[in-house]
Amino acid sequence: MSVAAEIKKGCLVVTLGGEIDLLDAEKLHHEADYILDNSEVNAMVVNMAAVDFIDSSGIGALIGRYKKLRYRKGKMCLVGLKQNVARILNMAGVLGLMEAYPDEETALMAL
Amino acid sequence: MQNEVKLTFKSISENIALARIAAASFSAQLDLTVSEIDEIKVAISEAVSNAIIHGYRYDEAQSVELIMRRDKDRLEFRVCDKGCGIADLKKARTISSADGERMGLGFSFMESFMDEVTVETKLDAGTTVIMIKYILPAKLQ
Repeated sequence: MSVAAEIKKGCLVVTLGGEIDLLDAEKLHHEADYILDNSEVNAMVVNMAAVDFIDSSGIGALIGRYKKLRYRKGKMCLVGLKQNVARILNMAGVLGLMEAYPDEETALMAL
Repeated sequence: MQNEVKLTFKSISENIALARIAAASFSAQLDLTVSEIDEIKVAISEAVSNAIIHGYRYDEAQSVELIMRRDKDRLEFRVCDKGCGIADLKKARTISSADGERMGLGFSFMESFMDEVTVETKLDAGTTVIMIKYILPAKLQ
């Protein structure tokens, strides 16, 4: 699994890959929060096109960042969900909280 | 019983992936769909995460046991810890925001993705989560 974070067009873009469980959720939590806590960035795109699996720990890390951004009136969206990942995010109610876009370009334009 | 595998591993989060991949391989001995195997992977991931986070409170010196059994009409997975046990099982199985960032979704996913989920727990003795997935006759070899 991998977590890469960079700032593009004023948005924090986090690119995840592989399987997101407890181990990776902690990395996502810390890497995203480090940038959010040390910058003025107020929008976050999570690119999940290379994510094959997510469980409740991964979902918790996404919702934790969503809450943080919402508290400061920011925005968050997801990109490139595979069918099995979309299914579980939907079951957990995540897709009712934030938009999911097919690609990063569309997401960056929408935020 | 047609097959049985027992795995004992250290209570560290690196081993969650190992446990679910072992469960996926074990399940693939039957002709399940990709979606069914994915469901089993989520359920195992949740049960093992619970053992590490709640059962052992991240005590890395402890061990989690995964026992997998294949019978003619079912797959059974047992995830056992010898940790603190669950004081209020009903509360633990309810979705809440009290469970840090995971929000108690773990049991909810186990119940959604498995046909039966039973929890045996005793304070200061440990918890065993037993999950059963029934196999449709058409898929039996």
